[in-house]
Amino acid sequence: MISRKSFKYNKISEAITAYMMLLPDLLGLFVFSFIAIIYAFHISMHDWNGLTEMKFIGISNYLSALGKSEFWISLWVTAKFVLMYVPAIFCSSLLLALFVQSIRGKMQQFYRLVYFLPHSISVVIAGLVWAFIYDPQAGYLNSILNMIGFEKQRFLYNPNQALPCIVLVNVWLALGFNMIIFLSALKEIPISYYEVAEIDGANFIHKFIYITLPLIRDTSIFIAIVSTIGAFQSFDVIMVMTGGGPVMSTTVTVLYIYKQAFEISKFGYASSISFLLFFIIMSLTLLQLKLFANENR
Amino acid sequence: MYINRKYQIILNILGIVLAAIIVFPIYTLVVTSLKPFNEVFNMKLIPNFKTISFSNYIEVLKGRRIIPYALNSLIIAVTVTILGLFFHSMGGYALARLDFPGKKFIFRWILSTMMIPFAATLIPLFIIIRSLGLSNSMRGLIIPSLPSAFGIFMFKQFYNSLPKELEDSAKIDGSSFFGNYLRIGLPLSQSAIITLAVILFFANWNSYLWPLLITQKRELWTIQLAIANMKSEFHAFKTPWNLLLAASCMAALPPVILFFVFQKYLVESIKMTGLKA
Repeated sequence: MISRKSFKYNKISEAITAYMMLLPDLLGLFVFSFIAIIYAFHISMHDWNGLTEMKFIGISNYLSALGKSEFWISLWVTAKFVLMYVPAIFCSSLLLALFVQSIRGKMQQFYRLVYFLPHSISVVIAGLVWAFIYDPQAGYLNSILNMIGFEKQRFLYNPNQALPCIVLVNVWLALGFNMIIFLSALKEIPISYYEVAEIDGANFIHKFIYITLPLIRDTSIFIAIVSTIGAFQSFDVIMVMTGGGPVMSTTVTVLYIYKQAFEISKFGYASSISFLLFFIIMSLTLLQLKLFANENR
Repeated sequence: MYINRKYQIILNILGIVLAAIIVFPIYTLVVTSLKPFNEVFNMKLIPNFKTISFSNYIEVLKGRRIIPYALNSLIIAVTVTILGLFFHSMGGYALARLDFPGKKFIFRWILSTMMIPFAATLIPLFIIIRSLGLSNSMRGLIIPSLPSAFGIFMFKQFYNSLPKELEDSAKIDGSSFFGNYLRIGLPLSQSAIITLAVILFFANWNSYLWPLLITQKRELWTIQLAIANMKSEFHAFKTPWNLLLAASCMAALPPVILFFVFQKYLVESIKMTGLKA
């Protein structure tokens, strides 16, 4: 028999144990995420070089960002990056997943493993190897172009080519990860659906449009959104490969923020842009969710 | 489904071609790291086997360009992995198994922190760590990497999938709540532990941005920083790609080995990421 009192005591000790067990992570997330984002807003309202006293200037940082062409250029570069990266990673990982799914027997495991391999390579190392492949003098890509009769290209040193080159490296790094998410969604689809469709005389394309696509809808939305958010924030490959150049052709907004804060110590100004970016990302996510929700329903 | 044998052969040829393209940069990495300097830009796909050797590796190791930084990375990655596993499994267990006021709110709050973009917290995070006096220290490299909403979420999902009866029998014996976690929950979560351990080790061994921001002292460089800096330290016009890529190969080895050994766990964890949708 458990008395009422000891039951209550038990409840309290359960709650205390739970809070203690959650404490390390909660404290960390509270300081490094929650406080940090509020603090970012606070900094963005000040003129501050990170060392001397902060000077409150209201929304001046936001206004000066909106008035600077550098900011708009960085936003344009980011937009180009997102518009190249998201469709590229989406289509290539979906196609690769469909391909791996259609392989029978043991080879399926093998392909999955091999296509997933770049996932284990770090951004720094990937940046180095690809810079070697893109080398304007004698890199592999140029020697292939040479072989099939094209002129040498400057790739990372050409303002028109640098960004697509970097997008390709990002796609290469993320391909396997996204393929596996698509693959697990494809495996959930019962084979009987396809069999019934085949009896009705459906071809490959019919099956893809009327069975596969609707049934992997949630996964597609997930990948589209996560890739978009990731693309808006991606700048590590750029840091390693071009540092934002040539000219400003690969200076995405996050890199612009990074440089303003950590190279010329304009912490207030940089924070205001990171807040603007935060809102852009949030609103785009919501918009994308809404658009997808309306389709097919 | 009717499968044509010929069709499968064609698919497999395509598969091998795709594999060759995707693996090509890694092949380049390995092959170039074995070449002498004057053959680096000999772009034949098959290298000259007479000149191939491990001498680049020896040179990089002799110049102490790798080992001190690899040790730093190892300390950081191992510490974050072990402490992180402990914290996240505790948090996940509490959310899955214990009953307490505010549980739903706390769980939602944890998930919502995943929505905050890293780019928006980079500056305040830097300032916070600096004002805590942790910049240019091992602790400054380790502590911000510890909290993980994903880690808690993963363990919560895992403990939810375990049958509750396991603890019920223990409760009658008068075991405490924390004792249940230590004696029953934790030993049963081997697969979740391995999965998250691989993810955490990967992320911390390969991380670049945070160490770049927070370490000015060379002694604290991580392996990724050391490699990124190597390129600019060498001669500006004649990049010694062979040495650079030999160092990269060594830095890539631990995650690649982990990848091959634990790829099943990695795949499972990625599937879980997709399930969130």
